[in-house]
Amino acid sequence: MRVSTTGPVVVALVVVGICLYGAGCSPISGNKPPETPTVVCPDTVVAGARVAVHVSAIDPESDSVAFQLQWNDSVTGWFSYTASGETVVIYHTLEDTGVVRVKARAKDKENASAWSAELPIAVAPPGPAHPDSICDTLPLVDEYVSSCAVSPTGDYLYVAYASSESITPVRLADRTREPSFSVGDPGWNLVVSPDGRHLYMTVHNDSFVDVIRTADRTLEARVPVGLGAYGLCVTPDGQYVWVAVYEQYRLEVIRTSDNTVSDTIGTFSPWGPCTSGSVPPVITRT
Amino acid sequence: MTYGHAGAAIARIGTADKTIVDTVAVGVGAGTPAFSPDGQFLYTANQGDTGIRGVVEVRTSDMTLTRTADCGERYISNLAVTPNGDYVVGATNYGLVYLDARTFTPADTVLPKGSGYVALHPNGDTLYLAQRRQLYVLGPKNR
Repeated sequence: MRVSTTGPVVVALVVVGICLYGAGCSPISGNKPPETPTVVCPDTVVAGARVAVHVSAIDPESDSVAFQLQWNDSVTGWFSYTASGETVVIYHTLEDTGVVRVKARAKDKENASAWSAELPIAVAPPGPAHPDSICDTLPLVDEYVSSCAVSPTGDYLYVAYASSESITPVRLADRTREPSFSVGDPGWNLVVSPDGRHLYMTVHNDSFVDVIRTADRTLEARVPVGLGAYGLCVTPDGQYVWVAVYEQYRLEVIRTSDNTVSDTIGTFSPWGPCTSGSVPPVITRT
Repeated sequence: MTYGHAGAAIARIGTADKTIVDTVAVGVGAGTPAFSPDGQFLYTANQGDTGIRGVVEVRTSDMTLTRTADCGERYISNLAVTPNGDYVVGATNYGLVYLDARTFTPADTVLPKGSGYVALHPNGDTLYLAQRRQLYVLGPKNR
């Protein structure tokens, strides 16, 4: 059940006898108030974002309960009744940065609970600009994309396809697609060396890594690795390529100076290696 | 491409002796990770059919799972982190999803829909989404 603070909510308060709503009320009827609500909300949001506050409360007599929130010093009206124990999600938009405190209380038809403990929500300023606006499109091959990579130098983007041998280079300075080329087999994953001079690509259902020279887009070497090579990455210094060979439960390390496998690591089934500095973590699936 | 492997984990490997230093479980069907620019965190897309389907954050200093972001029904192909570390961007079957790194909650999903693969320009200003038949170039817009 969702209740929005944006819509008007008017709840007729039925006051029995002289009982006032609030903690410690001792009603003439013997009706007990709901328990203090449980409140769950995020601890950090961005200004302008809609916050979801989850509230629930048990009524001793299983009466329906309604909730009221207090945002800092501002108290809302009572929201619509719901079943005892049912969680209600109340949405609220926080526009100003800083820390906002929220608490809730519940009532049945006669009595209100105590207020819950206050929960702080830090409201951060909106984030900086980031690339989320489409400004151009370019045609690619009519095949599913298996991976793409931008050269660390920022000169080119390369796109590989799942069922096509093509690799499409895109010159990024003027957003120009250059003619696709092929070195023999559809690629799984491809990465670009730090200097932009080589592509390394694992190949579908086969057991090698293609080393492609970007200057003339030709195959420089085909490095044998285990069957089932999938993810790969280049170390920041460009000296090694780490290849996940998941069907063989190992990583293989290719030395780029002579394009040979210099190490194997593992007894696990790796998926995709990734480097940061000199330490490459690896996804495993076992 | 067959995601959905049970019991996925991230293993850290020492380059000196080429051995696994430690691992952290990250749920079901984790994909290739991406690092924050300072290397303090890594992110991976969790593709499991059970539990959270979204993005997992791991602190690299002690390989501890620190946060998860539920991205609903979106199936995330791969992730990229902006060079300033402000956003984690995922290519999904529902378009792009942006995670504000401070709150780790999904922001708007940006069209176009369809499976694809995402890559960022090194300067962080331009993002490329490669899909079947089409490459989308995305530039910055103030949020």
